[in-house]
Amino acid sequence: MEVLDNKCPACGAKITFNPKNQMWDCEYCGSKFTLEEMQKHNNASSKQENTKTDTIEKKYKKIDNLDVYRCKNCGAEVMADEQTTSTFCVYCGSTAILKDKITEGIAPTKIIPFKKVKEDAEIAFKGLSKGKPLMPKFFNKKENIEKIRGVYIPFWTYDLKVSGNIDFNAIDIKTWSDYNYSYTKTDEYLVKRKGDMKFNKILVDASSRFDDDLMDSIEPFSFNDLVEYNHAYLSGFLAEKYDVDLSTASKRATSRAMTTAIDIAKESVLHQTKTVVSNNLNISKISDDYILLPVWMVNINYKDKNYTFAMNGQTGKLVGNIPIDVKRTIIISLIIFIISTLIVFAIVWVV
Amino acid sequence: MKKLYKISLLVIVSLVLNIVPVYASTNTKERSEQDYLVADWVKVTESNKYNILSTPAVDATEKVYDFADLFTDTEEQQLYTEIRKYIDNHNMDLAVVTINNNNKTPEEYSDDFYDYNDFDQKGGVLFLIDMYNREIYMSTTGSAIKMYNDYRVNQALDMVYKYMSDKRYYNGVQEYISIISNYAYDGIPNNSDHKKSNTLSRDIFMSIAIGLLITIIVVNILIHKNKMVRKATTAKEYLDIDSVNIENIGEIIISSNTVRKRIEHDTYSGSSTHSGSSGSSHGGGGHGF
Repeated sequence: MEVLDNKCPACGAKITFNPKNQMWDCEYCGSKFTLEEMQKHNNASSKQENTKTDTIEKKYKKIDNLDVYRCKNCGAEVMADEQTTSTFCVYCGSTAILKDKITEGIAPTKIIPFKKVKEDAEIAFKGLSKGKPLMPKFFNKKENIEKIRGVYIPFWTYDLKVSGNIDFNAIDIKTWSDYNYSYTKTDEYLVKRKGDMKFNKILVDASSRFDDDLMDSIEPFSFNDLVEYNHAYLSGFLAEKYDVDLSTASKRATSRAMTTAIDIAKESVLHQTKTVVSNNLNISKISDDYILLPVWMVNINYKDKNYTFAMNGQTGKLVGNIPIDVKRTIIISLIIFIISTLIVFAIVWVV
Repeated sequence: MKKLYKISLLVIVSLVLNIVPVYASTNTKERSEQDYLVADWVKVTESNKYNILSTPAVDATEKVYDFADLFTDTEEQQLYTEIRKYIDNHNMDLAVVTINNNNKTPEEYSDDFYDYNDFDQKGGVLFLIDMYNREIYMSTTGSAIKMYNDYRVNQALDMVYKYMSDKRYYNGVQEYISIISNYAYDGIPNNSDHKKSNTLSRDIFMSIAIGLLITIIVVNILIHKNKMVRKATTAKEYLDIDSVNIENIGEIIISSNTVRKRIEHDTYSGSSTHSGSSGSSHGGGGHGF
């Protein structure tokens, strides 16, 4: 077992992954290294022992050589390499965190490295207020923006196959009229369809700490950038440990696949209204994967509630629910009400 | 002073009527191809020649033309008085015609009778009792078209056709004159005849209601903008399009039925018009009895 420490092959100082040039930059000697070069220096080995874990995910390798930060306040566990330190919890903002060596966990097989740098995330977050007058002013203040951290979020991916039969009840309604009568013709059909289709890499958030809907919202990720997991990519970033197991997470993937399969079958029925009368579609798993995806995230506490904002670290898509400032809402509503009433009144008066 | 003048005029008119009694059979003049006896504005053409010749030429000042002999002499005089009152008050012409024979439609007959005799083209009404077609018809011309929109025409005819069925022709016509006179007092209707009340309070209320609606919509859009998180329910972006394979393994029709519904023709707003054979525009409507 080789020791993995992300040190500069030239000078031995701390080295971090730079999303801008997708290389490892040394802040001290200015050297830049590609993945191949890092691997050559044995500093970025992705070789792991083939120790089988006790969990159902037997094909995955065990992970080690990482520090884990445990939050005393919310219980979150975040991983980081030895070179990356965390001073506050990214989930609740608490500074009461404990550093520890990782004891268990499996290594991801693949990773999409960060493409967007912290400045991109800061600019996107500052731009949030655009066209959102109901947002509390305090929201994109500097101290909030500074808390933005890059986190690799664990995801399960599922390749699924849907096949079987599905029957629809379809109804066509046609109306026409002559001078004296209007006619309504209602035709009802039973339509049977048979078929199959495949889904590739449906993503399901493997971290219970992250709101699933929030993770859905920053999709899509482009899998063109998906590379073999290498420990070195984590330098400079935090990584979340998965805590939703493969089979629990699969429910979300199968339900999404089923909805789409039904939609696709429905589209092939050329009638006006269609309802499923019997569904014998089966979903089978072709394969699964455990991957890390890059997310810039920040947690903001507003009126004792946490608001999490996440930016897709690959595409830059920023999502999150912004709270509504009640005072601003009332004032803006009143202004709109007065102006629109006056305009309508003026129009009515002139006409 | 004006009232006095009117009363004296009425007295004179009634005196004249008493001296020269109006007979049940109305006096008509003979039309011929040499003398069509029509007003100057009427252009005689091959197509309306027949219409003109088949229309009785009457004295347009008599106002009551009881060809079907439905009224007594006194009734005729009484109606004449009421008609004169209507003409003076509303500045529109009014004539009542009754017929036993008609080889045109009631509409055609009424329009022709009005146009080919010297009635006021600026505005006026002709009320026809067609005993041959058993229909009452009201033809409007000029300003009367606007005054009596389809709604008012139908209302007036609906209210009086029963009198005709009961053979109370005189009462029917009396009632009719009073109805159209009341409408004329109300003034020209506002597209539909539902009480026009263009009051300030209604406008304010309406503006507030619309303003409130706009506010709710706009604020809702703004609130919606702050919600960017949505649960993904489909997996379309993960679908391998090339792998989709859907077969049609049967399609049967279970049932087919057609429902027919009668269309109620709604004539509540506006006045529908048509052109008479003379080319002038008329409104109006009819009702069987």
